[in-house]
Amino acid sequence: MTTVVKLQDVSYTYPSDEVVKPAVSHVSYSVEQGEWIAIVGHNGSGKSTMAKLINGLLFPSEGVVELFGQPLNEDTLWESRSQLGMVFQNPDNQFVGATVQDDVAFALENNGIVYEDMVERVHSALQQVQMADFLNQEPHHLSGGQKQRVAIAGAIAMRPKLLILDEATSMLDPQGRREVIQTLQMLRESSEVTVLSITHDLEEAMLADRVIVMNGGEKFLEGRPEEVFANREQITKLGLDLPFAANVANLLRARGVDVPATIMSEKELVEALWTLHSDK
Amino acid sequence: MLEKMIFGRYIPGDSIVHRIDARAKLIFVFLFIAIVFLANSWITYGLLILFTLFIVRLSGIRFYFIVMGLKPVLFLLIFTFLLHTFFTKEGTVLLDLGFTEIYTGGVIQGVFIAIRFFVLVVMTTILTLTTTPISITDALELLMNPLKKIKMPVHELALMMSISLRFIPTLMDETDKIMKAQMARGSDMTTGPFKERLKAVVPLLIPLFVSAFKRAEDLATAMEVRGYKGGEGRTRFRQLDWKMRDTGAIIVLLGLAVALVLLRS
Amino acid sequence: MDITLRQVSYAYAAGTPFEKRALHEVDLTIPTGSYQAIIGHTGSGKSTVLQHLNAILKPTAGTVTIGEKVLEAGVKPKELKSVRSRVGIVFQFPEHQLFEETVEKDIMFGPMNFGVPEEEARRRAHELVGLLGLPEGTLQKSPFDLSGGQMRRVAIAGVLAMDPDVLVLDEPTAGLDPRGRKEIMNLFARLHEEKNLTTILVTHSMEDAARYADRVAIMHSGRCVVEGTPQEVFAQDELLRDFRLELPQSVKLQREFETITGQAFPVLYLTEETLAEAIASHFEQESEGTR
Repeated sequence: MTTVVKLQDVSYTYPSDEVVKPAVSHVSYSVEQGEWIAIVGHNGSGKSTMAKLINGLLFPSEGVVELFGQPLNEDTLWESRSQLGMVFQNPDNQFVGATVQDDVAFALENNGIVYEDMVERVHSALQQVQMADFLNQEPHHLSGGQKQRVAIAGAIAMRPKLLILDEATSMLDPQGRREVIQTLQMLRESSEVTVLSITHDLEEAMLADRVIVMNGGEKFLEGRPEEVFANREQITKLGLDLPFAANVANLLRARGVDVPATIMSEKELVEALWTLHSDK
Repeated sequence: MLEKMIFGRYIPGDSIVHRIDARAKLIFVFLFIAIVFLANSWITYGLLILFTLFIVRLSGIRFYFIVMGLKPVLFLLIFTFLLHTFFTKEGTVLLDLGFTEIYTGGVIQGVFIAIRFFVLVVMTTILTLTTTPISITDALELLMNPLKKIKMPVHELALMMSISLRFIPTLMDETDKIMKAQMARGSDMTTGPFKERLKAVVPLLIPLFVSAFKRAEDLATAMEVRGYKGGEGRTRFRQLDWKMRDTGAIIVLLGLAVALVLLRS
Repeated sequence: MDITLRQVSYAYAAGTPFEKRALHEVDLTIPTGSYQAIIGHTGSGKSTVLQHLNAILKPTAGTVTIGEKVLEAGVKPKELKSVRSRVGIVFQFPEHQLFEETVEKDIMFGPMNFGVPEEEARRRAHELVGLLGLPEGTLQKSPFDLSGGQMRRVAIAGVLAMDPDVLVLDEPTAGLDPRGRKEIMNLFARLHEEKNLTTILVTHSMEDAARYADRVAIMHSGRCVVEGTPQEVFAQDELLRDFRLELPQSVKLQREFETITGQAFPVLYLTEETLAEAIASHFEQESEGTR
């Protein structure tokens, strides 16, 4: 297995900050090829700074960020970026092209891909996000969810080794969020892309192989989603949500109903309630 | 509130006018502007009107849109007509108003200028109604390409233009939204004395600027991460394709020019 | 101050080829003191309804009555300030409307436009900053130096400072993290009680509607298709499915539980707390019964 991202004892302090508290402080972790990592934390926990450290918009004050096996610095920046796709929070502010297909082609043009190849890639990328019927649509005729799917297509058209989602669903309505999450799920099944998603959306975090919880710039918890969200009190204290079923399970246990403490999904909860009911 | 604007709006369609290469259309309109000045008689101006109406017909654009396009310049049209009517002292006296006299030559001159104005506005309206702004940008970029030799940042200008075009609807929506939000807070920029209204613009403009800068910053970041580093080494996804019919359109226009030269007095 | 929409239709760009009908004969009555949720997908017309609630948009057909003020289609209203001062709207992403040099001035902007004396406006600003949980000293800062969540609170304070009788909220928690969402929604619930407000919440969130509202209206393709108490509205599973809307999560789970036990609860439980309570007491009774 190859390591796609590796952070070693990385810290970052914003130069203009009056408060000398680092935005990211001594964080280490690595992401293997094909993995899906979710980084969660409330606003101001340092998770967005982390995204900027990985895509080279910021360089760490301390420690090393390695991308695709080489340290990220001014010399390796552009080469690394051509292998990295990114989707940002605001659907409007990352749509460069005049139409859907122009936008998907933007990164391809920048990297000098020849015309015939571009057409093929634009079409297949749009197919993957199910936006192939919208080739010539202008952005202001698209919903937020559709714009984000176009942004995903724009990122995967470059066939990146790493896809970073920086709160890609936080500005969407529930329908848009569902669309984007479905698209991501499909991508995950159909391709080998490595995903690093920065989010406070639980549903998105539950998709991940591994969750890293950030708090006050530090790595607070790390593990499989069900492991991480099993630390219920800590998670709630950080201002993060628990999955609905986990919440109800907690409330039930507090009222003396004996359901397992590990419940995460509604399916598990319903099963537990079945068992309880038939035991009586 | 801003939804009635017609200028710069593209009306999708599949007419021959829509399908002609944007470069050909641009050249066509520029040549037409020059050719219009060849007309100097009833018959030549008549020909111009017929030709213009023929193009309108070909474009399949509803006349309503043409009228809407003319509306903002209607005042100018009437003004130039009157100007010429009153100040050209040629031919015989048609009307004696006491303080001034109106000559037949004046009226004729006024009508001619009005026609000139009319055909120019209609032609450019047709251009913008049948060509997507982005195609116009592409055409400009390609037509101006030779200027790169004298260090004109043609690519950058075209990119700037296309991004501005792309953000116009977004910023219009934003303006609308902020205007409504401030109205709900009791700010009123539609009624009251001019000074008050001017003051009411500040709560609209500052948030607009703040948001535009934020968008620009986000966009720059997104472009950088997507590997944009200037025009060097870039390929083009948008291709324009010059066909026989494009050459044909230019030839038709030259035909008009020849006819005008022959028919002018 | 009751708000009534009677047979209200609205079209954008009316009379041009770009005309777009956004509302069709909407009937809706919002009585004084109620907490009304308006639910619907993007494009369902709920934002258009919202803009009628303080005469930012005027109906192209029908009448809107806000307190004593009657807005009739085709009739140019004379004076709207009195309506607008009594109906405060917190628009989606309200932080985009901030513009003043200091937070204090921005909060004072609304009330002073409506003729509140400067001293009183300042007093309100000071009071609201505390109420919204903003740190001391925020008042003299530039709103643009604050964090996103704080900017949101300042903008909300700017609307509350007008001391409205009716508070209209358009997706007030969009883009906030879970903690911020909960804090803001609880704040509005508290204000609703303490200040005897009429609150109108426009939202996508079934959970928020179920938890906070006492009336729910559902918008779909420009029509108000269902209206009633949350109990009534969320009992109509089939209908909601037709409009591609989900049940609140607690109601969904309640239905599943009812399938398990084979018996239906007499009421809907609209929050996870009440549902957990009901399930717990169900098991208690059952175990008592078997004993």
